[in-house]
Amino acid sequence: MGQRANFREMPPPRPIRLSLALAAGAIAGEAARARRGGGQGVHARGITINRLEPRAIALLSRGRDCVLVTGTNGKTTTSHLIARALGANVAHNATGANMQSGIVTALADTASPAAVLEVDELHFPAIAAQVRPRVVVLLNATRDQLDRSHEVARVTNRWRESLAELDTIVVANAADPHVVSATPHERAVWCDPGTRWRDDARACPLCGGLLAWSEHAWGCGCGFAMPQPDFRLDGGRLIDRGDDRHYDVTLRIPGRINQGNAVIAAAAASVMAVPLDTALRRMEAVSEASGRFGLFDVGGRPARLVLAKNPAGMVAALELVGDAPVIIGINARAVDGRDTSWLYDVPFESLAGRTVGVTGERREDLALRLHLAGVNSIVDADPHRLAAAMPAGQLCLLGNYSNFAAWSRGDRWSA
Amino acid sequence: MTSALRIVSVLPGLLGTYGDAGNEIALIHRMRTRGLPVECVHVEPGEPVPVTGDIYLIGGGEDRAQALAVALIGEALGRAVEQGATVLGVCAGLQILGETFTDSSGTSYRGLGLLDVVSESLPARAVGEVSVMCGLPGVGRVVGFENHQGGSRLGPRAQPFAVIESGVGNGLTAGAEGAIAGRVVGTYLHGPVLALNPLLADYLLAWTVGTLSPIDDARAHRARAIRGA
Repeated sequence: MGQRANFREMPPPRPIRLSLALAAGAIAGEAARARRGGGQGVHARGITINRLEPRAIALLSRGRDCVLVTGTNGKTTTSHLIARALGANVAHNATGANMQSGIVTALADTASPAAVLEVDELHFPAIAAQVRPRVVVLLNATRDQLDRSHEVARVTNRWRESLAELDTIVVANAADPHVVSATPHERAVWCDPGTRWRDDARACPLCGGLLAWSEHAWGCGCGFAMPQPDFRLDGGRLIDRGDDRHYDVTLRIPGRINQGNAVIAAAAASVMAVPLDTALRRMEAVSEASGRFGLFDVGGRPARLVLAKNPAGMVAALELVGDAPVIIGINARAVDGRDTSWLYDVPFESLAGRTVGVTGERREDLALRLHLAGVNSIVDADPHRLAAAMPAGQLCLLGNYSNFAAWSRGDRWSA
Repeated sequence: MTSALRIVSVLPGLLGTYGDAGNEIALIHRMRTRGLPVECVHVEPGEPVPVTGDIYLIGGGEDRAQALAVALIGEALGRAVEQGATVLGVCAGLQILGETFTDSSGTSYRGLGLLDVVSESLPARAVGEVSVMCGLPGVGRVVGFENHQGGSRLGPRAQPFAVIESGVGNGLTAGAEGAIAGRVVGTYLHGPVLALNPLLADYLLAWTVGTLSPIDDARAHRARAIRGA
């Protein structure tokens, strides 16, 4: 565990250059907000601060207990769970702005002694070097936005190099071979969130040989194998291997995937000296994470919003949809990844015979994919119009990034 | 054809990371819609590649998977080709069908030797939508998405699969995309290429099944239309 067992009482005084950068950033943020009429101005503010004081992130995180959360899927939800588990007074980039500008503004917004920051997986090394976190949470590494050419192994190699330079505790997903390969074992707290995503981990990240997967574990002939988890999800309960105690994981946000995220969040909180039962009780209050799993008004009907931006995320989303009527929106802007081929790595065949609402700028790509899976589509650019055509029940609205971002700016459902 | 068409997906877990599973999905759909029998085999690592398949599909993958795949496939695919089988290799699949390929660290590997193609790193990664005019008679314009660091140079025993209209394609041979020798076809196009290009899918099927009746491809045409095809 880290040497700093207690949170600091007072923040350190801010150097003059940093104070000037923060003041200039505030003005730039206000200007951007005024120009765009309602935008948050986070980006303009953060860019200005970092340009005027390139060490701003390092200076603002000095003396604070920081938790960095990275991975392909679940960053926003898991960091919301951790922030809640740590109690009040935590700096947190709650809207999911997870690159340099979002990090610096979150740290500047409060002088709280602790911070929970989700970090883009590719920006992790640069940000971690500045923040010097007490805890790093590594969730998973799966294919995402293929057109940006960041193969999974390249991302995790950079994590490994970065973590070797830090003295942080790493709360790591033991079920993901890429994550395990990036984690310094002597500083690891291993978690098993119950997920098994093999499709991006057929070859051993260390030797290139063939990974053998069984129902519970994975391993390679070279000796690289799934570590024994310190904390694991088993039948809706968190099991602490240390004392073999069991804790119920009850959440307001849906799905087994989020119970797994909660196990990892509770492990991170326990490293930060919050008891597991306290952490889990506090997490029960989380009802959404920056729109994820929130209830919105779509075409006059309640609809639960789910972000599903890559195959692993879409598989998890389809699992929590159940029998609910579903609308799926697919775009292929730069933030989404320009290649829609990934739709064929999702087993939409599980929806065969059902009728699905199809929207987004690449709705014709999705409609073709669903057609080949034996799924009927109703295609419409407008999700509100689609909602009226869907069968009764609480809708599930699944979208990749830019669709989700647009929908989550819509009206909340009020019954 | 009296027995079912046999589609063999070669190591889909290792070489299927770019949606190329959709090529099998598209072929199955085109057979079943016409009431024609089809069966599929997925060859997983450690299992022998059968030599009696009609169409073999090899998808894209990361560097490590590519070298491992050549070792796992061994001689079986060559024997199937000698018996008249069709092979479609996409991206990494194209590269491993060739004579040699070089990974991003500069290490060279021997390929399966079924296409007279040598693959090496391109100066810049090729990423984006691609439109090509296919050399196979009647197939016409083929669209897809390319995403590759390696490029390919064709030797005298291979023909280009298509001529580039927009995009990079092989990169190392000007204007050329992919390679064909007999019934062995390689391309850099994901999309997946057989889902977005029904005429190409039917052309490959016809090598085994013979003349095919048209089916409703309205969905594919709409997905092609957003790509200007």
